[in-house]
Parts: sequence; C-alpha cells; structure tokens
Amino acid sequence: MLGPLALAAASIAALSIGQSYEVWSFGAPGAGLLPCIAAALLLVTSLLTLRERAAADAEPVAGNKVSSRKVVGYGVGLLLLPPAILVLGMLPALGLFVLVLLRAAEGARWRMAIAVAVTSTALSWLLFVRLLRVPLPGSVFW
Amino acid sequence: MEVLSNLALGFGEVLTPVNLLVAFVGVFVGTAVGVLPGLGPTATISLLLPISVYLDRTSAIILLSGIYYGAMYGGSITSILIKIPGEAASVITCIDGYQMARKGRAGAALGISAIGSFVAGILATIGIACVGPEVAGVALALGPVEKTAMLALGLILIMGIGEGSKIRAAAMITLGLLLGTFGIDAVSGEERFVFDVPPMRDGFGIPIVAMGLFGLSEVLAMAGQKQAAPETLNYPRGIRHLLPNREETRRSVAPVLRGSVIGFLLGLLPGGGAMLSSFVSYLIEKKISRRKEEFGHGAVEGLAGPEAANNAGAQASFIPLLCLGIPANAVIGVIMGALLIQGITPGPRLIVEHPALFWGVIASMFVGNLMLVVLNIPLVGLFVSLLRVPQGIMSVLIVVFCVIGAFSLNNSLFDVGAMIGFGLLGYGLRRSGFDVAPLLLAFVLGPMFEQSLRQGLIIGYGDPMVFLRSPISAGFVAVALLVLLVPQAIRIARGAK
Repeated sequence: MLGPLALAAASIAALSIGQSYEVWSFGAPGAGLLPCIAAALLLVTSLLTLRERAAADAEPVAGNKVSSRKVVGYGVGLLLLPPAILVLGMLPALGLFVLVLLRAAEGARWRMAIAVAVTSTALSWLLFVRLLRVPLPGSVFW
Repeated sequence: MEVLSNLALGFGEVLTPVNLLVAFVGVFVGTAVGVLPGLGPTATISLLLPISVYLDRTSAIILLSGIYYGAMYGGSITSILIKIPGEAASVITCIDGYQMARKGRAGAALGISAIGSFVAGILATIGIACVGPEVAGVALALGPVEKTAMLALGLILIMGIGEGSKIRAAAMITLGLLLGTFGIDAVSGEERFVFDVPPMRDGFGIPIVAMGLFGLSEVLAMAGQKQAAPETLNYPRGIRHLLPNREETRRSVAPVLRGSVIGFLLGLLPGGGAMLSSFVSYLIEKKISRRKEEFGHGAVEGLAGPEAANNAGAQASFIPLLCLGIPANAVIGVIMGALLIQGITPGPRLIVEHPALFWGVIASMFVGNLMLVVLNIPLVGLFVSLLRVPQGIMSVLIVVFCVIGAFSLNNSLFDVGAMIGFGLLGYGLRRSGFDVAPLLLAFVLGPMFEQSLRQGLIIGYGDPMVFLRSPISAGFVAVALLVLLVPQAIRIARGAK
C-alpha cells in the first residue's frame, strides 16, 4: 500500500507545483502543460492501483521473502556514501564501502574483503584516473 | 543494389581494428552478463553508458548493441546447463534445453542454440537492412502532429511491457513523463521542479536514471535474495561435442526459420522483442508439432524455435529505434540514451544524416553474430565458471562502477546523489510491485513527446482536434484507443457471461 500512497502524495505535490507554471498562454501551450497532465494522470493511476490492491487484498507482487538486514545494510551504505566521498575522497570512500559491506552485510572474511576492496580501488584508479583521465574528487584533508 | 552498397559502407565502418575489438568486447561482456542470473543486459548497458561516452559514436553503439544480443546467447547457456535463465528471454529454453542436457545432449543443445541464434541473427539483420530504410522513408513524412500521435501510441504500447498490471505500468509511464519535465523548459526557458538547486536546471540525465533504476536497484534486489549455489550439469569440452547429429539438425531447420520470422515480426512491436518472441515461437512449435508429447521432455523443436526467435526479436527491436526514434523495450531505451548522449537523435533522419552509423550498426550485427558463434562455443566452460563468483562481490563492484560512472559523466557529485536516489526509488517501486522499465522508457520519450505535442498544438492554434484532422495522426489515435479499450471491452464482456 505504501508505494501507491507515496506516488499519490508525490503527484499531488507535483500538480500543485506544476500549476504555478504557465499552463496555457497566448493561445499556446506553456511550460506547465505536460507536468500538470502527467501529475494528474499519476494521481489517477496511483489511486486505481490502490483500489486494485484493495480489491485483490494482496501483499506486494514482488513480496517474496527478502533478507532485510542486507538490504538495510546496502541502503545505509549508499546513503552514507556521498558524505563519505566529500570527506575521504572518492576512491578511499569506495574502498571503505566495499570493505565494510563485504564484512558486515555479506559476511565475507577479512582477507577476502580487504583483497576485493584493494583490487577494486586499484582497478578503478587505473581505468578512470589513468586511462580515462576522470578527475575523481579528492579528500578535504589533501 | 542500394542495400548492398549501403552495407558495404557499414562494413567499411565496422571492419576497423578498433570497432572489431569493440564488437568482440560487446558480445563477450554480453554473453557473460547473460550467463549471470540477476544482472540483465539493461543494467549492464546502463553501467557501461559512461564508458561509451569515451568511444566514438559508432563504436559506442556497436559495444552496447553487442552486449544486448550477446546476452541473448549467454542466457541460453545457464538455461541449458543449470535450468536458471540468465536472461528473461531464455526462460523458455529451460524447458526443453535442460531436458536435452539431462539426457546427455548438452553439447547438442548448446550447439543448436548457438547455430539457431546465428542463423536467426543473420536473417533478422538482412530484414533490418531491407525494411529499415523503407520505414524511415515513410516516417520522414510525419510532422509534429503525426509524431505526437505516434509517440502517444508508443507510450500506450509501452504499457504492455510492464510485468505487473497495466494500471501499474500506466502509473510508471506518467511518473517517467513527469520526471522528464524536470529542469529548464527548452521552449520558454522556465525552470521546472528545480527547487533552487543549480544542477537540477539540466534535469536528470538518462544514464543517471538508468544506472539508478536498473543498476543500483538490482544490487538491492540481489542483496535481498537468498541464493543457493547452482548445480551445473557436465558441459561439453571440445567443438566436436557441440555439433547436433543429423536427426537433430533436420528437426531444427524449420523451427529456426519459423522462429526467425516470428522474432523479426514481434521484435518490431513496442513491447515485443526477445522475450515475447521466444514464448510465441514455443507455443507455435508445440501447436504444429507431430511430437507434442516430447515437449517438456527435450524436444529439439522446443529449443531451436525459441532460441532463433529471441535473437531475431532482439535485433529487430532496433528498427523502431533507428527508424522511428521509439525504443521497443528498456534495453533499447538505454541504447537510445547512449545515442542522445552522443548528440544523435534517433529517428527517420538518422539514416540520412548519419548513414555510416546506421549501416555500421547493421554491419556490426553480422560481425557480432559471427563472433558469437565462433568464439563463444569454445568458451562455454569459461562462462559457466563465472557462476562461481560470489554474488556479494558482484554487488559491491556494481556499486563502485555505478558511482564512479555517474560522477564521470559531468564530474558532478550531484549526479552520484541523484543516481543513488533513483536506485532507492527503483527498489522501493519494485518492492511495491511496479516494474521500472516503463518508467525509463517514458522518461526517455517524454521530452520528445512534449516538444512535438506543443508544436502540434501551436500548429492547430491551440485546438486539440488538430490531432484528428490529419489522417495519419487520426489513424495512430484510433489504434491507441483500440489498444486501450479492446482489452477492457473483452474483460467486461467475459464478466457479463
């Protein structure tokens, strides 16, 4: 139920913001036309999805058993990644991300986790920094 | 004769050391991706979009399209040897392919799959070379009014792509259209949904959305699944063991030819492509077979037909993209994103403005299919060994690749944050039973649809009836209404009985 409800709420917000743009001006469509149409249709379809869900009285379609601990681990890791990149720099932050997730979420041994973290960081440096010359962000400390 | 000279132009483009290497890397990576359950071609092509920016236009598209049809073949390997479809289109191959392998004919099953895919790929490519320019010629006559109606029809047909109900697919399409309006409006210069965040003025890039929705959300989905190590049947060592015997070859010929035609025709439809083609081919083979009882127990026809159909369908789905600018499925939507990044707008003008690219991609299909059959058969063992890589390692490496790839597009940390946001959104939507493929396709088509809609309305002095005055446009609208209303009418009629 949460998904369709969130979509309905987002569509109402988009509809109210969309109306602040020019929907129609001087006999021609304006910048707000498609946002308003799309938001209105999203509202209708998410409400119909809610009704469909209520009628079927079913759990989410993709609702097979999931290992929520791992998903939460990955989710938190992903959310912490941008601030970590700002502080540590991109490659060290990603190396740390690989190490922590392999250890904590995947239950890998230290030796394996360190080997994968070091190898992936080194290969990323080789491919993106040396070969493709991408200026990856550094740390605030250096 | 014109087709032959155009193909010569295409082969001139492809038969360079760089493009041959790129084609090889594409089909090799594609096969590896097809072998690995979970990580599909859409996610992989999304991950490689940032790398493709560093290649020239033709090479970039050759790489990405090679991954697509390479994955079609790779998916068959695991279907036959371990009954796990590496790719959705290979689900049908599990039925009779795996049964053949259990009867000790794994080599023949892999051989039939590879040779059937090769024949179908070549026939489909010849079809594209013949039909493509004609379709593009017709599409060139379409103005903004007709284009709007055609895109609207495309959006409605995309509803059929989603895995869940059509209402859910429609919700994803409208969400995709809405997200496509974020940023500065190209016509009026007005900022939409920017929220005083400067990088939002450019809107979200297609690779960012694709990597988030398919790459990161796939990682989260894989993290949530408990997987046991698959048991692999003995795979054949040596090409001699991969050749089907005379009886198997005789029984394969007609299904491969039928599958090629079915795949080509269904691949042209938005929502068609590889998966639908393989299902339809299997049903037809079973229907017309004199040995119906063998289906499900290792029927050669049940393997050869669908394998040919899925490869022909995958390749034919390039026609709507290259000739009309409409992606037939999510993979093609991401490839369309790659073309747009390279400054090329797919559609009928592509063949006129970039003939070397158009014919180069078609020629690369011949080369790619040949590479698949020559190189991949001896490498079956190598691909099967990929299944031993732990999924956890695969997941964290995908995240690393997504994050650096997202940053490298514009050297912007905002893109990294946006991609992570789309990853979480994609996972949440999938958990709620929504398929994100229609969202991406509508996001890609949205800006084009908005532009032509507004141009059409300006031409019609603001009167929406302008879309019914042109016969072509009215035809598209009529078909769109039929697609929307006929299934509902049938459902109501059945309910009344």
